[in-house]
Amino acid sequence: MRKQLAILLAATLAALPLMAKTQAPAYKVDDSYKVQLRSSALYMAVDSKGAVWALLRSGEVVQISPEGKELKRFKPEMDGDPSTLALDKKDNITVLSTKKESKTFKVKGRKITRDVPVAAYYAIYDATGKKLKDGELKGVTSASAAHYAKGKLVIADVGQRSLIFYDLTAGKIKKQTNKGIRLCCGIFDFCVGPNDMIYVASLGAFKVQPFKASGSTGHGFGKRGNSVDDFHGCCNPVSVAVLPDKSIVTVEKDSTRVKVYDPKGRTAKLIEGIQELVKGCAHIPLAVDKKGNIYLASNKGKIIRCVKAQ
Amino acid sequence: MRESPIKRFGILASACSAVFLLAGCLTTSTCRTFETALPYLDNEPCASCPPSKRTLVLTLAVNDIYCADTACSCVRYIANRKYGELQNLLKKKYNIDLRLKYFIEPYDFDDAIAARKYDGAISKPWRVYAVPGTDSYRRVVDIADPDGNRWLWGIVIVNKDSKFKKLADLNGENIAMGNKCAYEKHYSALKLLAERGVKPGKITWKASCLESVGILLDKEIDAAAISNYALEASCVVDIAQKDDFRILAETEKIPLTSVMVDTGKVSIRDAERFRRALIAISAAHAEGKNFHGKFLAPTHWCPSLEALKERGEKEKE
Repeated sequence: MRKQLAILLAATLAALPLMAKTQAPAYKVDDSYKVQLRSSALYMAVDSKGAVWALLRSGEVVQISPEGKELKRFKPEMDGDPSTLALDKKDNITVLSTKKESKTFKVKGRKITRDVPVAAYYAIYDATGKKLKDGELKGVTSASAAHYAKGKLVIADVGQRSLIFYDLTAGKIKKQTNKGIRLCCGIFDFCVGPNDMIYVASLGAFKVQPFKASGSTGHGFGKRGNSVDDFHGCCNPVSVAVLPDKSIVTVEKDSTRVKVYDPKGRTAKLIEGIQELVKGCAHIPLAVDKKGNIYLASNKGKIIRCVKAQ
Repeated sequence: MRESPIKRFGILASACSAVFLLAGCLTTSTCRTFETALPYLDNEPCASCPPSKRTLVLTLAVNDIYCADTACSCVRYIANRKYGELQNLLKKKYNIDLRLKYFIEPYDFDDAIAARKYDGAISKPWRVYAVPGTDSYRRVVDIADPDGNRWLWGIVIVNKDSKFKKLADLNGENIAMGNKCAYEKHYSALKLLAERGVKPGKITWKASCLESVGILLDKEIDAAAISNYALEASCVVDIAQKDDFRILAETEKIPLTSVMVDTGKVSIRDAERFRRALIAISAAHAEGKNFHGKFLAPTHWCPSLEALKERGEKEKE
């Protein structure tokens, strides 16, 4: 009997580090980080020095230091409306815009007019705000999120409901996929994780859907439900990011819930103390830095930072 | 201008007939559980009710699929009902102070109902009764959707190119169905399958029509039981069109949306006063600027015994 108990105890002790490794880390709001912008952020990315770059609704690009101080601000020239930005390995800033046209549809006898995306453009700037390159993204109708992976600019095209792998040098689409992508409310966000693995916030399926850079899908996680491990609302999550330790951050709107999942997406920890960041069905910009800090933007121009709880 | 005695008698007779007919419906229906519609106190037509001097304050929780304050923005063109104008009219003409708390998230609404924080609710009736301890809620009026429909039902759909042509073809197949908190796509759908002798090989339980439609499009399942409105007035419109599917069968019909009061908190007389005010406003302002709905006398409905027994139980996995 004693021998059996000893074996059980030894097995439990051996499993403890493994269990700790698979659990999501706990986070808290960093009250010392206070950033209030005049215009709300549409998209954010963090550069190699830990500064946040945000594309604002006003069309300006702003750089904010890790201490929360504004370092740089410039307004890129662009066709269409500002929509997203991406940073490459050299910290150059790619600003993307989307051109829309009004179209009228008939639904149940009612005429409704909606702005439909028809074209997307890009412009690359260095950290001083000097334009390096620009052009139209041929075959792309919109850009609601963008990141670099394996040397290609990966674009979330909500108009075509596809993830597009774009070769800026060749000026054409290299690959396009929509398998497993379920969108809603015109929201389409994704992130690039370790080994250039792509994670899509497939809010129409209440899932986080991984993709390999080859375009093939991996096993996603998530379902609609009431527990902290589930996604709530009419469609969620609206944004996703992967932390350096491979934990996955998800953001839900209405009501705002920011959670950190273990790398396999099995269990989640809620970050407490975050107020409503948006009202209604809207994207919530999210970015993470190399230290594992999490940045979130509200539709009132506020940026908050969440840090690991000790 | 005074109405002639014959005309007045005619109006009174019509009103009485309507009330007696409804009362007849309520009492003669076979109900193994309890009638959810608030019974009528008397047959006095509402138009002659003088506004009470006593202010009636009612605070209701709202989770209404057609309300602009609780629906998803992707269906805002159809889910555009607003209650502000109604609140003004109730206060001004009937001395009823209606206070509303909007819940976009149904699970938050459930928690609020469970906590018994409110005098009533505006929602799908089962959303309230699915919460244990809510038997004292009664439906004061039903609300029609913007097209005048007052019913909610489940539909069993397959992909347009599916080999399944009729419900019986789904014997042994994989069907997605709704959770217990959605009566029409859970209990009504199970009832439909049982009545038609259809035994699915597997049931995939999903909390949202959006999830069910998604996995149907991906052909992970063979059919899905979803809410009748889902293809036109839910987030499903963002991933599919009505024409992408065929409807194999429809379930029984139950009330879509009701204004309900907790008679454990609000007296029957006050509930009746509230009902009369709502119906009178609806008659006079049916095409109200921002309401986009119509109040109707509540139809008969009692939830099934099985559904009531399962309240508070864990969802099926």
